[in-house]
Parts: sequence; structure tokens; C-alpha cells
Amino acid sequence: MKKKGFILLFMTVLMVLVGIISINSGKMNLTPAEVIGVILGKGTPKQNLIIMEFRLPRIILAVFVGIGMGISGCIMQSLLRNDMASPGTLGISSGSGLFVLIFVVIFSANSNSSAILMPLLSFIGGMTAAALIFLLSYRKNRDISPTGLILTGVALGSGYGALTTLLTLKLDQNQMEFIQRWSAGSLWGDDWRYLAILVPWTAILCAYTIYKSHVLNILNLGNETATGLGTAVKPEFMGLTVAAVALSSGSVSLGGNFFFVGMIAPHVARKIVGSNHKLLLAAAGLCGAIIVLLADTITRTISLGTDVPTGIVITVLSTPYFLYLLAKENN
Amino acid sequence: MKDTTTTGWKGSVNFAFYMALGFGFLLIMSAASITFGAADMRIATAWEAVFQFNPELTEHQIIQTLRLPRTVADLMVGCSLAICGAIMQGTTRNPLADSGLMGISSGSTFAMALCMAFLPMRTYGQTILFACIGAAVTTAMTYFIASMGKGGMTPQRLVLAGISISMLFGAFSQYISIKYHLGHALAYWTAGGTAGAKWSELLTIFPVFILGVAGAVALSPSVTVLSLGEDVATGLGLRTRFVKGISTIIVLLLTGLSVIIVGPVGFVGLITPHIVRYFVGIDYRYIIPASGLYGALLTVFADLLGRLINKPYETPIGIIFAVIGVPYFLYLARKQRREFE
Amino acid sequence: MNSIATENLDIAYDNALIVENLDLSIPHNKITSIIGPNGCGKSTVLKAVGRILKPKKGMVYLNGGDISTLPTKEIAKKMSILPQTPAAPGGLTVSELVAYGRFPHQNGFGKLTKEDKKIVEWAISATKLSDLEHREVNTLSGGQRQRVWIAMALAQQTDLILLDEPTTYLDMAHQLEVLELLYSLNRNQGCTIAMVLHDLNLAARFSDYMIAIRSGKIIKHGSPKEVMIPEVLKETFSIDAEVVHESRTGRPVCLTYSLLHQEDLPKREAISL
Repeated sequence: MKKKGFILLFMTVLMVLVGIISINSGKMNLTPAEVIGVILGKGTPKQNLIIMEFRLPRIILAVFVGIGMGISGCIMQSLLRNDMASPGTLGISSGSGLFVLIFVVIFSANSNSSAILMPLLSFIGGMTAAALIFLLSYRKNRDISPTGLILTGVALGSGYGALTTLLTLKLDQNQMEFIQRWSAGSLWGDDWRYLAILVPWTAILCAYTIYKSHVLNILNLGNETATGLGTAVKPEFMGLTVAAVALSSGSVSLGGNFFFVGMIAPHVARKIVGSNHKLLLAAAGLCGAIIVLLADTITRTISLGTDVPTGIVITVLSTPYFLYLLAKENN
Repeated sequence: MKDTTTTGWKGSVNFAFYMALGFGFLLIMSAASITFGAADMRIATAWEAVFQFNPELTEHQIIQTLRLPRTVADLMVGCSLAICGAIMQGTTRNPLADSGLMGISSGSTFAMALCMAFLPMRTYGQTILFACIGAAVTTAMTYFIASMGKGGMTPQRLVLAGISISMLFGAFSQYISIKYHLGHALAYWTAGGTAGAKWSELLTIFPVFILGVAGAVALSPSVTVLSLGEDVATGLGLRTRFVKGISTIIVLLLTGLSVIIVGPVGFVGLITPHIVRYFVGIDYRYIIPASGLYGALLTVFADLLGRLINKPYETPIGIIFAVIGVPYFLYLARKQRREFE
Repeated sequence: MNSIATENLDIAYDNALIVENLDLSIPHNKITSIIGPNGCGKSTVLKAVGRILKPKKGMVYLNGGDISTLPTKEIAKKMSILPQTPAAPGGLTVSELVAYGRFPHQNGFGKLTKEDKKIVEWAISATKLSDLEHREVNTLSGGQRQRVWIAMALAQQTDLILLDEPTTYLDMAHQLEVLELLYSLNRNQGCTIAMVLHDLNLAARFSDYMIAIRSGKIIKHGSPKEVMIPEVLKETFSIDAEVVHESRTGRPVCLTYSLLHQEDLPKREAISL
């Protein structure tokens, strides 16, 4: 256990390191000394602008979006006992997106009220999607095949996607581009106003989830065994599901639809720290943060020729891994 | 449950009936498609435009240069995609097969994106070629991945692999689109629309189309045998690899040409064979031609719908099919799972 | 005194009534076996008694108290359950799995106190698993794995242990291992044991009390001598059985049996004997 604690520490350090590199990089490079100078209030106005208005909020956004998706995916994989479950593959993030889009269509995406409304609507969309997939897949006393569940989720997700595209056609040029970038996954909400909502939202949910880590461990033993040990299975399951959807909704509303992060982060975390949720949850969150941060840094530095949404990089990097999982699935 | 084993002469009569019925509907639907749209016209005008073309009248112009080619494009695309779906469902024995879902069209799309970005001066024939190559690449990848590992190529695995490959190549396409500013052009085309269909393009494609459809119909008896199972087919003396090879080529051709005209439209190939199977039975000698006919019908209808429901804006057929197709797909997937367990 | 008593119990699965109007009791401090043919509802009854299944109608009493009013953690301190095919997640060691048995006594984070650790160690040694403490559960043999789950139930420190077919899929030696462990738990620790068993002879050999069920109704309950008689076996299993009393244990044993002829098949209602 101690050894694994060190691993977590290492991951946190890694994340901070990537964060530092990220702060330094971009169209204008700054040395670490200059960065520290800015933070201490001694930078030039231009440096201040770059760091405080652009980069720092963006990095914090990336970190919290990654944490939200990572932990959300971890909860889903554990509750459903399904390796490929995640907010993306269950259609939940697409459902969130649909509701966010409805919001954008009706109001504009930049008014002050949207800071709290967007995550909220995103959450409602996510819960609706969760209810739908639950209805379609749940059958009493029988287990759903793992791929069957994901198939339903992906189909639902593409259904929401189609509806979303339908709605996008009604938008004007600006809004349409915004939505296109959003759906590919771009960290658009990198603004202190939005962060003021996302950070507490994610933090509180994380605290709740980590508090429930032992319950997650017990649920992993099977519902019957868990009941026998005195767990109120249904309420706990519901509570954790709501938390998972809320976490992913927050990330999705401000970050966009990072389809695979929620699936991959828990996998990597599991390989590193094992299945004990007391460590796994935190590890999954950190992995998610590192993935998103890395991808974002790559898009901002390596000249891919244009301003590529972060999500594209993540998709390109993570699809092979998903395919690998699919290929080795033993059922 | 309805008896789906209509064979023998009874089956033929059944089949002939549904084909005749289909043709009738098709004529009506095509007429409607030519007549109705953003600018309403009378049927008489439409009739005259086709048969007594008067280049002076704007209405005739609209019909000849916009609606007629568009309708013909819909027919070809619908026919092609439905036949592709039927062939795939027969040869892979996977009721969830469809060229949209299995990553085939994403390969064509990517090829299209590359063409738009790097070869603006290409001929239409070259476009077809590249689209088919793109389709071939993604198909190979999908099949390869789905068949790895224990359990082999289950329907669900195939679809999931296909969808992931679609996403991967979709991401590539998006990247090319953003980098080379293909913007709206690619986006609209991705949603699936025949609005820009031109006679010259349709003429270039026509031979490929005829080749594909004729090949499919000729192949249909073999597909029927193959649909009984590979081992059974081999035991009955069928050259399974040859048949599978030819059918794959046909699928790639037909999907490729559809993607060029309309963009990647999914679900046509999924839904049509199922509907048709309910009426004409399980023999692919009937299913394939009937799918072609009814696929054409459905697509013309969907396009018409797309033009009418949100006047004067157009709703791309890709979306319409997706909205119908997803619930149907879910229903199928569920029924499938029950049978599997 | 009864550890468990049910009253007018109706249990249904998806609207199909499996058990109807069942009055069953499990006596305190004894080993009880529930026997019956496939699909008779014995597992269903056990699950309902163990509050894993919610009955459609009727009452279940645990130590005299209505089980539906007790908080589930409190129940877990009094009664532990071993379900039919428990699955341990990969990577879990024996001592980790047994430690989960302390869950009903813990709060919040699930940290093990000194007391908890002592109990876990005791459970592991009582099931003779001390050498295997750090092995991964999924690498053990069937009999050993079953013992690990029993150790977890032991760590729960309950007076009543319910087991659903603990010996199915085990070979002869492992079956005896498990049952002898349960026997000694009952005799030395005073645990009340209630289990669903497939094997009639093992049930007769190790139980103090047997309940024969068919189609959701009790055919006969009592001591093995009272239940293991040809008439009851005919009624319960539709077999023509020959029962002898064997010399090693003095218990009744079904030596051999054959299928009944059509005419001899019993009618469908329970007859009181």
C-alpha cells in the first residue's frame, strides 16, 4: 500500500511537470523563471496576459476536465463491471452535448448566466442518456454481454450526435464552428468565470466518490455478496451513478466531448495501482488529467499547421488502444 | 411468426408481386420528388419538364438541372447502399451489417478529404478510384481487428470495430478539413446530401453502378448458399473465398460511388434488407434485387422528406436515416442479443 | 428457538410465483439443510431469507425481529451469506478478501482496526488457510476458494451463516473438507448453519435438521431419520429410493434409486406425513 502511495505521489508530480511545460509552451515561449515572476506579480503586462488570462486557466481547465472524465469512467467501469464503459461509449457525454447544444441554440454561448447553466443542462442531458441506456439494457437476473452494452451506448451516442447535427444546421456560422470544435473536444471554457464553477463542482464530487471508495470495492465482489455484507446496494449504486454522470457532465460542458479519455484513464490507472479503489480513483483522475494536459500541450506547440481541437489528437491516440481492447476481449 | 421460407414458385410469385409494387411506388415517389421541393410546382409542369423540355422556362430548368439529377442520384445511392447491406448481411451472417456502421464509408470520406485538399484538379473517375481505395483500407482494418482474439467475429465486435475505425478516420478527415480549410464543404457533404448532383458526374458513375448491381444480382444465389454458414456452403461445393472476394469488391465499388455522390450515409444498408426480408423471405436471390429497389425508394422518400420538413432549409438524408436508423438499430441489437444468449 | 422463521411467504421472479405461503423455520444452533429437485425454489427461499430477494408477500423474522425493518448493516452483523457462484475480482489475495468480511462492522473508509485484523487472522486459521494467506484467490483450487469465502463469512462474526450450494462443482474430497469445516464451526463455535445442498447423503450425514421442498412447498421437515424415508423422497424427487442406515455415522443413506413408473408418480400437492 505504501509503495502504491508513492506511485500516486509520482503521478501528481508528473502532472505538475506537464503543467509547467504546458505553461511555458505555446506561440510564445517563456522560461520557468519568467513564469514564476508572473505568478509573483512581477511580470510584464504582456506576460501577465498570456499566463493569467490564457495559459493558466487553460491548464487548470485541462486538469479538471481530465480528472472529471477519468474518475467518471472509473466509476462506470467498476459499477458495470465492464472494461469498455465510459461516459463516451455509453452515450452519456453525447447526451450531455445535445442538451448543451440546445442551450446554445436558444441562448448565446457567452452570456454570464451560462457559467452555471451549462454544466447543469449538461448534467440533465447526461442523466437522461443514462436513464435511456439503463432502460434499454437492463434485464432482471441476467447479465448483459459487455460488447452488447457498449454497442447500445455507442448507437445511442450516435443518435444524439445525429440530432445534434440536425440542430447545428440551424445555427449561424460562428455557432456552428463553435459546436464543431466542441464536439471534437476543445477546451473552450478556459475562462476564470467558468472555472469558478467547474473546480468546486468537480472537487466536491471527487471528495464524495473517494469517500465511497470502499463501497466500490465491495460492490466489485458482486451484488449478492455486497448485500450479504450489509451494503445497501441499490441506493449506493444510484448515488455513484449520479456522481459519475455529474462529473462527466461538468467536464463535457466546458471541455467538449473527449470520447475516450474516460475509458483509457481508468485502464492505465488500473495497470499502475491495481483494483483497490482507494488508490484507483485518484490514479484514474490523475491519468485523465495528464492525458488531456499532454494532448492540449501537443496541439498548442507542435505545429500541426493549424489550430487543431485537442479531441482529435486524443481520438487518434486512443482509438488504437480501444481497438486493441476489443480484439483481446475474451467473450 | 411469419413464415420466411417462401421458396419454390410461391416464392417467385411473392417476389414478383413485391417488385411490381415497389416499382409502382418508386415511380410515384420519383414523380413526387421531381415535383415537390423548396419551390412548389404542379405535376403537369414536372411532366412537361421531363418530356417536353423547354429551356426557356425557369421551372423546367430547375427540374432538369436540379431535381431530376438529384432524384436519379438518390435512386442510385439508395439502390447501391441497400444492396451493399444485403450482401454484407448475407456473407457475414451479421444482421447488424451496414457500410456506414462498419467503417467503410469513413475510409471513402477520408480519401475524399485528401482529394479535396491535394488534388483539386482531379477527374471524377479518379475520385471514384480513391474513394474505393479508401473504403478498401478501412474495411480491411475493421475485418482484421474484429476477427482477432477469442470468439472471432461476432456481430457486435464487427460493429464496434467499425465504429472505432470510423471515429479514427473521422478524426483524420476533420484534421485535413481544418488544416486545408475545406470547412463547410466537407461538413455538409459529411451530413449526406445529393443537392449538388450533376449530370456529368452521374454519367461517369453510371457504368460502375450498373456493373455493381449486375454483379450483385449475379452473385445472389451464391450469397444465399453462403448465408447458410461457411461450413455448410463449403460442404455444398461453393467456392467460399472466391464468392467472399467478389462480394467485397462489389460492396467497395457500390459504397465508394455512393459516398462520392452523397457522402457517408449510414443505416440504409441496415434497414432495407430487414424490411425486405420480412416480405420476400430469406433467399438472397430475392432479397438483393428487392433491397436495391426498396433502398432506392426509401432514399428518394427520405430526400423528399428532407426537403419538405423544414422549408426552406434542407435536412440532409444522412440525418433522416440516422434518426430512423438508430432506434431500429437498437431494436435489432437487442433482439440479436436475446438470440445469442 | 428459531434463528429464522418465515410466515406466509410468497416469492416471485418476474411475476412467476415460485414459492407460495411458505412457513419455514431454521432452528438455532443447529445445522439445517434444504433439499429438493431442480427448480423447486430452494435457492430462492434462501435468498429471500437472506434478504437478497424481496418477497412478494409475507414476513421473514430474524431472531424474532421483522427483517424488513432492520437496517441492512445490522442484519449483516447477525447473518452472513455465501451465494452460489461468488466471483472474486482478479488480483485479490486471500487475506484481502477475508478482510471484506469486517465491512458491516466498519464505517466510512474501511480501515482495519487491530481487533479487525485479529478476527481476520482467526478466520483464516479456522479455515486452515494460513499458508495461503498471500496467494491470489483466483489461483486456488475450487475447494480452497470455497474455504476463502467461508472465511470471509466467518470474519463477519455472525451467529447465522447461510450457504447456497457450497459443495456443487467440488470433488468428493473437497466437498467433505467444506462440510466438516461447517460441522466444526457449529459444534465448536455455536454457529447456526443453513445450507442448500444438492447431495442428499451429505445433507443427511451432516445436518441436524432437514427441509425437503418441492414446487415451492415443504414436503417434510425434521431430523434426517424423519426426512430420509422412501415416501418423502418419492414425493420430493419422484424417485423410488432405497434407504439404509450406514454404520460409520449411523445416518440414513440413499443407497440406490430408480425412476418411478408413470402410474406411481405422486400427485402434485404436498401430503402431510
